[in-house]
Amino acid sequence: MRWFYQVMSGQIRMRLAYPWGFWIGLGLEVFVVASINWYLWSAVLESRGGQAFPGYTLRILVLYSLITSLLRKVQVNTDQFGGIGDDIYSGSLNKYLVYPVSYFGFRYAMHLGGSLVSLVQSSLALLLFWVLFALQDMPLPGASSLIQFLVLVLLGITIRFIMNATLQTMAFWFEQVWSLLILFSFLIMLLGGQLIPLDLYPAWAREVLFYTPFPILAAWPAEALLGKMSWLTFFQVCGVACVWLVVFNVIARFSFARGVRNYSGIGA
Amino acid sequence: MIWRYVRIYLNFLRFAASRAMQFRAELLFRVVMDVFYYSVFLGFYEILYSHTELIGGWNRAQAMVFISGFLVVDALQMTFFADMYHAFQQMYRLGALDHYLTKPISSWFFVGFRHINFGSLINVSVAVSILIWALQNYSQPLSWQAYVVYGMMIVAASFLYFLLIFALLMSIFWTESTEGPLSIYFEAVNFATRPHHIFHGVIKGILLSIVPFSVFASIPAQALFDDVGWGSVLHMLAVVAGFFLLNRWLWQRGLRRYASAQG
Repeated sequence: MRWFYQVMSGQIRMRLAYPWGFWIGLGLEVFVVASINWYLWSAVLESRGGQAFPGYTLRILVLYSLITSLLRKVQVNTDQFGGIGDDIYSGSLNKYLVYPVSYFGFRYAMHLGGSLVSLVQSSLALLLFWVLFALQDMPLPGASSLIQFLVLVLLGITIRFIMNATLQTMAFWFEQVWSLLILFSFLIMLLGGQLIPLDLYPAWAREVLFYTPFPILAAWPAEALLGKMSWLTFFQVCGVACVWLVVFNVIARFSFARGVRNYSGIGA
Repeated sequence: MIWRYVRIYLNFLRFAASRAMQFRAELLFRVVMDVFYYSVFLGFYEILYSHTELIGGWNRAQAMVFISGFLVVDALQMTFFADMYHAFQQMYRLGALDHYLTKPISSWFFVGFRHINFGSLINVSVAVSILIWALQNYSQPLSWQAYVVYGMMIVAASFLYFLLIFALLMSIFWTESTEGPLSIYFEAVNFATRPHHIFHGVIKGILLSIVPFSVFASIPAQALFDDVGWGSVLHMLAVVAGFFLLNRWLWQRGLRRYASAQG
């Protein structure tokens, strides 16, 4: 596994070489997400006569939105987003096929390296925002919340990678797959609780969504960090996530193996 | 003069239609993608309105008209302009703008209107269907003039969407890269998906003028609810005219700095 560490650390070094672009983008994202949600939830609570949602004050709602937004940034490395599809279209896949390591493993190491850098940077921004803005309504997370959060984030990063990889193997047969990746992002927004806490969804929807892979990418890590997840729920969520990991891993590998048979490698 | 440009534009459309038919699977992906995109916003407001009667003074039916209007604006700009956003950057980097500059028509028009995604017309029809559904659920009586003016404002809003992005893209003449401004834009455009009444103070002022996201769908919706709110109509006309002039000015200034990458 030494190669995995080397690929990952190489990606980390590359991401750290140009930090300013990330920080500027992150700062603007924090401003946009926080201000949009501040105004929106203020208007919603105002029309409810100032009555907050159980467990969610205005500041916690804004904090929740920011956490899920930053999770998206952590899971989606823009330079890796369509990497597998690009390799197939450009013919760059050729060089990976002759490497003595798994192609998905290589790509995952790159993805993980970028995500870990994003996680550290996003966490710093989130901590600053939390202390300055939300501390009066929500204390900083304790050790158990942090452990749950980190485990779920790592699971989320891995699931996002393998689901994106599955979709990108379609590039063996179709001329464009980016729309599938964007489509999947939209699903996470609505079904993953990225825009609104799942606690505000109808009970039946929450029950159904529990068994899907979407909340692991947004709502569950956010709820864990906000101290709203019991250990029992945490282990159930981890179980569901592991099932989806296996399912998508099998599909991705099957699809890739079939696709490589058709692949002509032109353009490399 | 105008007919000449109309004729040229019809040729652009014909070319786009033949190209769209070549990639049918991708066309299907794109349609499905946009349907999910629409579902996100409709679902979002459905959930919000299950907890409250009003948001920014608008009830559920009004919010659905507003957000459906935004979806039509988005679908129109995706069809008639979005492919140009990427193409323009490519043209600039490869020096391919030369080809456009030597033609005996406005280069701004040629670059801006040449790239049409004909396949996305399906999405326009889906978005318009959603808007019709939302309007049918809106209980207040409206005059036919209100509907006509609203339709015109929606078309103007998609043009404004393009003008705003094109103004940002033209920063490439000075900065050689547009990735930063574009990523900020696509993050900030979420402001357009919220009613302008929820914003206050300086932010509201900015959203109605300098960065006119609230003019995309919220101002047209307000004009409709006011049964042709002429104040809203004039506001929109002023913003569109302002950004049109800004575009033309930036284009002229930018071309003076342009040095072909191939030349």
